[in-house]
Amino acid sequence: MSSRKSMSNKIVPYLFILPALLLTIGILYPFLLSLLYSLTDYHLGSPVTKFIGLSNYLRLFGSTYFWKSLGLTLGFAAAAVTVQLILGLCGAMLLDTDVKGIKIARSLIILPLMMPPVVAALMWKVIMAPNGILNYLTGLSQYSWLGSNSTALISILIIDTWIYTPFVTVILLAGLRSLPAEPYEAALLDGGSAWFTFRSLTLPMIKPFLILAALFRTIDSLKAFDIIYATTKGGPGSSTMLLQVKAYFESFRHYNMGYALSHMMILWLVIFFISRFLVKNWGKAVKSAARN
Amino acid sequence: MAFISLVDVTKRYGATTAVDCVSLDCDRGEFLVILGPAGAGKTSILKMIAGIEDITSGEIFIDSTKINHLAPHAIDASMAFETYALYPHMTVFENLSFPLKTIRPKWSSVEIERRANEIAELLGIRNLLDRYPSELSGGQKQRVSLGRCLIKDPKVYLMDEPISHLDAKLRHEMRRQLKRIKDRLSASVIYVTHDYMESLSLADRIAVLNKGKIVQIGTPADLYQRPANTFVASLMGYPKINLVEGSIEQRKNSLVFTSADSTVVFSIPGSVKATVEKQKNNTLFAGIRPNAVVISQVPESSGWNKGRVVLNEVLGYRNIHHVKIGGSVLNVISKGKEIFDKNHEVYVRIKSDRVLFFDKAGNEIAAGGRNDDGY
Amino acid sequence: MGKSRQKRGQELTMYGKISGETRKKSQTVFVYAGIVLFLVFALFPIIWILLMSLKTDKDIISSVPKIFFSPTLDNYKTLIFGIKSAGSEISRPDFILYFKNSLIITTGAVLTSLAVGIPAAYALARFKFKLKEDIAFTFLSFRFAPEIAVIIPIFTIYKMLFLYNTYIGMILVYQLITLPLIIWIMRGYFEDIPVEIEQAARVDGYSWLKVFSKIALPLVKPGLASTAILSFIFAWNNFIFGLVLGAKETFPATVGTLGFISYESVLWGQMAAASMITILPEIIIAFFIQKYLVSGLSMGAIRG
Repeated sequence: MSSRKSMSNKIVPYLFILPALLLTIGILYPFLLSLLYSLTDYHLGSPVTKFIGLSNYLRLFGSTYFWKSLGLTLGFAAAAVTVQLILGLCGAMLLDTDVKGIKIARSLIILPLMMPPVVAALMWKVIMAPNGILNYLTGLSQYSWLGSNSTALISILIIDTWIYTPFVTVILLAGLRSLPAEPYEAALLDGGSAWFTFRSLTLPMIKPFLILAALFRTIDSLKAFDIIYATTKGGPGSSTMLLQVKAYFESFRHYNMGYALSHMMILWLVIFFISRFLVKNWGKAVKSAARN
Repeated sequence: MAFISLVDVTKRYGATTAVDCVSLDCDRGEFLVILGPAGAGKTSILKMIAGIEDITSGEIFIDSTKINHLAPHAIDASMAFETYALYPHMTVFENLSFPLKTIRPKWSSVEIERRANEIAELLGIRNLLDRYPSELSGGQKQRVSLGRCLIKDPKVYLMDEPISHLDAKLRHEMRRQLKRIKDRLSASVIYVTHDYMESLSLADRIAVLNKGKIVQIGTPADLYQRPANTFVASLMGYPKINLVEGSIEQRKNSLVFTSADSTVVFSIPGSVKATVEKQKNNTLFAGIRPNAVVISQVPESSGWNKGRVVLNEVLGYRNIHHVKIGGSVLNVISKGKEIFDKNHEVYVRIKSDRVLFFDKAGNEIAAGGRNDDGY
Repeated sequence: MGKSRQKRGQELTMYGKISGETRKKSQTVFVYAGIVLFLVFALFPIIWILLMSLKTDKDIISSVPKIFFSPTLDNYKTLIFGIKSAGSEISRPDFILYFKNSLIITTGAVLTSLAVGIPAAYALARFKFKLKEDIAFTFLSFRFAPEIAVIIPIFTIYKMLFLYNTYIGMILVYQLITLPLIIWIMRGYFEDIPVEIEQAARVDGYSWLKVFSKIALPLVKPGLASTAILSFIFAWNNFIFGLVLGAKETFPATVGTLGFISYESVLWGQMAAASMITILPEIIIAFFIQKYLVSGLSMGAIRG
């Protein structure tokens, strides 16, 4: 009847968290395995797997394909995040007004988010086809956007932007709507211009949200796979062969699991360090925004 | 052992010590008030008794049972929170009856309804039973919170500033209600507040708490007449007691207290002469209550001090004059008829047999008008 | 802490003017133009594919995109009922199977994550225990990891444990998507409940478990709904897990939509129809709860 408080305090939290914990361990195990595999010559077709230390990594760093892929990945992520933050901010500011019908606009804008990226990619594949409507609208005849070396990656970028800009918009809109009114009233009285209030009031105050959106988008675009697989599969001429796509083909076409995993470990490191940097800055931005 | 006993109880939150080696007793059926300013540690004490906060060190006993490691639902107490802590998703009726549902043997729904209505009637919230907390005013919420606390019949009621957020009139009314309820309660009550008037009117005994430490425990009369130090003396009474820094001198045939600039002077009454004389070479504080000073237009005899009114508050039934005498400003309570305007020159007489004496550190040395044996 | 801009009677916009009253006509036009531009860009592809799903293949591949055409439901009929119609040589009746798979896997994954994640979120919100933040960070870190890094070892393990191409296997793997989300967001909602309310319930005589079920859970119901829907959408949209760890029997709809492109031909009409069917549940959800979705996403954002 009278349970001991110290006992219930110690056991209960672990009981609550136990199932999730078990699941976590179940998932951590594969993570550790992949690290291990990356140090072997694990090949799906061969029955014997040898431990080969850092050979995979050495091979990786010596491969021009890898460096090209890494470059493409970083470049794509940088471009995607920049474009989407800018467009997303524009969209958020437009939706932050109170013109008539704004509520409908707000609910419609999230539609691209509602669909699987693969499906969106297929839609755009149709639109960007040689006989597709994009060519019709731009007057180009039979140009293959996704099939040409020079425009393939940019086309992927367009698709990615189409899908994820609403996501950025939603986050930034939430940020805009949470801003306090007083500073703007003061600025009004002080007679500041629109650009001035934007630069000195709005931008600093939504910095946490900008960084948060940047964090999500950076991680996801570094990991880009779905869109590329559905459209170009890394081609043409490996102009869209981002790291995760390369790893997929390395493991499920060529069966070089160990080698493929070394790619992923590198990608993981990149994601980890960039995220840590962003999260630290996010923390700082939150504190300074609260102070202001 | 008393019914409820705290023995050297300490509570630390990280590096901060909220409650510092506190020992308290509360007898069966006693109404004990813990009085202290905000942040003194009062709420922590209540929560430790209720079992919802861990005790860093020390022991707490209720009815001879050590409760340090008992879960809250095993401790027979009920609590009214300062923040009300009402259940937002339940109606007032459901909030009130929630504690009754855990009583074993089980109460029938008829009994629960009867009891809830009874409490609601007592607190004047009968018409609010179907409302949700979000639909209530602050005063109504506070009464529901009090109701939820009073609905059970536990060994001890714990109340954390239950009427402090009500407006003055309602607070007055609730104080009266609480006094009436108090007489009907057989259980012990530990009541926390920062309002000295509540403590004076409700308490059987008062424990004064400051910065986590017990300063003084005693009956209301004890604390008012014989405060242990200037902190307690200042706590009790509005306006605050006047503290004048000065020393003891021998003048002609009498022993006098004189302020540093010799503007406030009065002779030491015989009852405390012996004790006070020992302090001849030290700095003292004279504690002069606002009602221990008489104001007059002209000095009615020798020994009156001259001063000037710098502010007066006319309150109808009484007036408060702030009189500047030399370097000190004395708060004086006068009868309703006596009104002196600002900048008026007046004379004051200190009723020396009502003066409290404190040493330099603020601790009480002697109180006039009583036989004293020293420290 | 002042009132937020949306709560004031008169709203201030970013442009420093009190809107509605003093906003110039030119500004309104500018805003409208911008919004329309965004909406057109956002909605055009969806509408175009919708139209495409109602066209015959002949109409689709015509060199001049047809805006006027006689609509037909043949594509849908072929997909759903497997009826071969004129002009369509190959039919893929398995698409309905893929849709069913998506339903089973996604719903199963979300329900599992709710059952497992809600207590975990509560524990993270309320209790103090060693390794708390480490565990919380671990849940979060799933978000960071590249999928292939996890998929390869899971692929091997699943083959060994006969979990490859099974619903259970898929539901387990999908926890990587749904669990971190649910734990992270629900933790915030639990932390929003003032501690004293739960303390009051404990003093009123209720144990930890009862306080959790009678007080905490009811108070987070709205957050629960939006979080569940959000994780449903993320899980439904997933592609890579189904691609690698499933086969014909368990492919979700997302994988199924790619099946219309082969080396011989592209079944445009059916692919369009399949795309439409795939996004249908999400559009329905979006339509009904769009208000809660925005606040749900932003809650997660503000809470960080």
